[in-house]
Amino acid sequence: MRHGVYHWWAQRITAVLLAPLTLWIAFALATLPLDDHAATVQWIGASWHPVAMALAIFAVSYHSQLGVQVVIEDYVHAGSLRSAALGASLLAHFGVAAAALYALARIAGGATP
Amino acid sequence: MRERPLSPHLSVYRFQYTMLLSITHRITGVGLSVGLVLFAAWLIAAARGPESYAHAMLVLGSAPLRVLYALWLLAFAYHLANGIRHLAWDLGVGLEKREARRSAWIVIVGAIVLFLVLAWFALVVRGEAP
Repeated sequence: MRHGVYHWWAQRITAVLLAPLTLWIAFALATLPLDDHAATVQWIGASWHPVAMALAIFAVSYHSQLGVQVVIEDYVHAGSLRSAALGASLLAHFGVAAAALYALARIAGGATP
Repeated sequence: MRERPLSPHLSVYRFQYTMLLSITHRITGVGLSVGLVLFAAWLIAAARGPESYAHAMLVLGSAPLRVLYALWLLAFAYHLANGIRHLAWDLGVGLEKREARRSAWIVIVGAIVLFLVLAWFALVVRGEAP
């Protein structure tokens, strides 16, 4: 598959995944007693939640990276600046995804004090 | 190398309000990308235990950020609604000019309804009216 076609597909597949997953998370964030640490952690770690949350983190980071890439490619034309911006965005997305997944794994594994 | 014309060359088009939805999809998308950082911060704080969490919530629950959450919620509702419109276009549905104008209004109304429902849950049902 050509690179552009792959990008197009990845953006749409993650979009389809994210429609239900982000609605689920948005409703959770709107209804959870967020000041209550025990209740919050219990909800995040409950049954299938960590798997869905991991999928959401992966899909949203990928979707976001692809979207920001298009925006940079459209508006940043200078070669070196464009490369730097694309690299920075990729690194930032990897970093945020890794940190979020690590935190999620700790909560799901019961390592949270 | 000679400078070549690069997209997007917006100035050649007559303005139509459907363009506004298109650029708003981008703006809300970038805004939501920034919001991911706060979502990750919330998860990390939760993983670090009750004391770290309580400490982090002083910042995460502060008034300026609450205003931003409202904006993020609106951005999310819009990006989701318009994203579904984009997926329909990808299936070849609703591409006619008249249909695209009609779906634009459906997106705007749908996004406002989703925003109000989620805000109602967060502020009234949960009982955290500011």
